[in-house]
Amino acid sequence: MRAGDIISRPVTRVAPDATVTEAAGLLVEHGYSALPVVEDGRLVGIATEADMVRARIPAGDDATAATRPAVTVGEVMTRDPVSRTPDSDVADVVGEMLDRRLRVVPIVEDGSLVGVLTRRDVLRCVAQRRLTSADVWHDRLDLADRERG
Amino acid sequence: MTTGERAPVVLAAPPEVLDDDPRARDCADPLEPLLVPAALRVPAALALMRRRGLDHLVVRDGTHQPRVLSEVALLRRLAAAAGPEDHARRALESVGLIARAVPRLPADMPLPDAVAELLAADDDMAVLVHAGEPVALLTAGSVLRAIGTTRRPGTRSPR
Repeated sequence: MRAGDIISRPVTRVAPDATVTEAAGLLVEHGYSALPVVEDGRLVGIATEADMVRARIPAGDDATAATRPAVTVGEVMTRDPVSRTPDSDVADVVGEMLDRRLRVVPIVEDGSLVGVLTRRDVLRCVAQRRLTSADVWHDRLDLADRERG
Repeated sequence: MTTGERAPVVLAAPPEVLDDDPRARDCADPLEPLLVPAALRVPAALALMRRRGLDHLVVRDGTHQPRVLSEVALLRRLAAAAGPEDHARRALESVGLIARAVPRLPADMPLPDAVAELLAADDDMAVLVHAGEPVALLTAGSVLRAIGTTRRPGTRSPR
């Protein structure tokens, strides 16, 4: 199964100069756990809910941090995020999500963001019995065979 | 009644489902390592999660209805503080005030059906129950682990 078959789109995205408050509003509005960060049409980062809430928590005795205005998404995002193409195998993307503890993987085609693969997208496939551990196993065996020759 | 005929065996699910679908509890995290008392303070809970690499804790408060606490929920609660004093007050709260109820599902339910229940409830975790007792926590992460890491190329199937 290809990632492009099950990804969520259109993608809600955010610019790196957006404030964390604005981005957090988008997360709440859409019920997402992370947003791709796009600049000049290019994926430059991913900002998770955890990144954003950590940015609002004062560290140690920094009494001004909680009221510090306008922390931007660019300051808290994860740069150069893992991304895959629409042709990537879902089983491989799931492996990547597990290995790197990712909740969202941006899907990029010709440099442009075309969608995101979320845990929820994968769960939907499991619920519909379209993706099982046996599928993942067979896909990985096929991949290993192709790599061998 | 004619002689020698046995009544057909009634299965709880079609044979193909019994054969192919893992049970929800096979893919869930055992509850015991995740259990914390409701009186545990927020900083201790965060430290425990980071030390053990956990995304969730299960808060037991003496009832059969354990509630669940995620790291993001803890951080969200701290981030919503109105200022340093409010933050300091929230940081001393007990986790029992923050944990939330999640759906309860039969532990032996086929995994796809359990996941469908999660999606229908718009939740990403459920407490699995067997014989009336909570036994495991099914999360989006545990489902992904179950389908993604059970077997790798070059290894034999466990069954």
